[in-house]
Amino acid sequence: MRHVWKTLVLLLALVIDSALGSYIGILDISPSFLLVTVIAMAMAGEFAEAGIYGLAAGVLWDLLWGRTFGFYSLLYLYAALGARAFLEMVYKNTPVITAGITFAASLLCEAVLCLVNFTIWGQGNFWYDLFRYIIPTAAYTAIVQMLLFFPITRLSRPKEERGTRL
Amino acid sequence: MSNFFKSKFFIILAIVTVVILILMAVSTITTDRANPAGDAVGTVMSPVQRVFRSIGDATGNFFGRFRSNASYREENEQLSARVAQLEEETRELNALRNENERLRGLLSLGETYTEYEMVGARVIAKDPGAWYSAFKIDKGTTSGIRKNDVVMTSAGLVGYVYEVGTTWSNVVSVIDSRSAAGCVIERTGDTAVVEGSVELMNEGNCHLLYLSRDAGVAVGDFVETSGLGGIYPEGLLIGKIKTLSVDSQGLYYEAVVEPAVDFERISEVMVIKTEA
Repeated sequence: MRHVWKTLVLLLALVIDSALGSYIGILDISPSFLLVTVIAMAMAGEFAEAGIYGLAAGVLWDLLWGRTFGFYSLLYLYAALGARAFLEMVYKNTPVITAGITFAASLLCEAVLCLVNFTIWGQGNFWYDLFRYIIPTAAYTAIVQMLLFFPITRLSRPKEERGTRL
Repeated sequence: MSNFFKSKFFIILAIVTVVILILMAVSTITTDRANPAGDAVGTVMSPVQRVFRSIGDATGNFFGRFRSNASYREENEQLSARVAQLEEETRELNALRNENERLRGLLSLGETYTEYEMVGARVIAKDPGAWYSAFKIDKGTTSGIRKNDVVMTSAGLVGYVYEVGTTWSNVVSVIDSRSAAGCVIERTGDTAVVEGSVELMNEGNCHLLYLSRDAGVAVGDFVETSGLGGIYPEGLLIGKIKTLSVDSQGLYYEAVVEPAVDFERISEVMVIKTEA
């Protein structure tokens, strides 16, 4: 049942991103609810589970928007695994730590997208984009993570673990 | 660490990564339709996206109304309930009139471009990232839409269809950083290329490049498609020149073009079946 709910939350995040992204944007900066969900789920679940949900999120994004299938799949898979690996090092899952990891994951994902955009399409000015879009998007996404941390984490952890700290 | 590389998890991860890389390579071979899995997901998701989009519209309208009412109260504290009601009715009538005008404009497109068959569609989702300007419309192959069909509003050119599902299509706009189109300056007949860029995309503008230094263009000149490039037919209004400068090599003029279409508020479009 937990996995059904997690899948539904993942789909909801995808729909919110694509249908409501422009309404919650500030100065053309919108947070990624999908990344927030993926990182929160990765931090609250097992290692393999983190990979599966990261991959699933990326595959869904690729199917909906990706022109090159697999790009977002890899990005989200490794973002989720990276977040989970970091948790192994700190042994602590708090809103601030998860928001920090979300900030880093968003920063990396957006930077990769910017560089790919530059490499393939010859578009973009990395330093301008870094301060105008990449860092603000990462910050906004991290703030959203802090707000949504508890509901997503509670949903993601097995019933027997709920109410306990990691 | 060496145990990790021998673990079952690492082997599965490596296999998944290789499979995805192969899929990436395969998917770069363009097809006219979305892959079956993408089509299925898009078909299931588009009604949900449409509902959320409507919620977003309603919420945006609500807060917009709240803001205007708040400022109005400051200026007119004696505003009566009757006036407020009339204003509400006027707003609703204005909204209906605007929608009517938009739809009439779209219909008139059919009269302008009689040689093409057209299909009306609604925008149901937008690519939320900062890097691309793409959106999803609620019509697909069942409405006869095909890849590379041109998308317009009554104001001007929007973009083209890059992926088609059964009941949805993905459209890449002219301001998208992946977009480029041959264009002509309406007044002088000089040709150039209109190209999207990340920096200008978020302002709703695009670049005009490779315009000859001999061209007698000026700020405010209208830019249309030239018909070169194979996707856009000739004579579709793209926008007007906002700023004009000489490129870094001093060989050509380059300009910022303000598209005729407001991509922030786009809700209804017409798809021109260019291959019909």
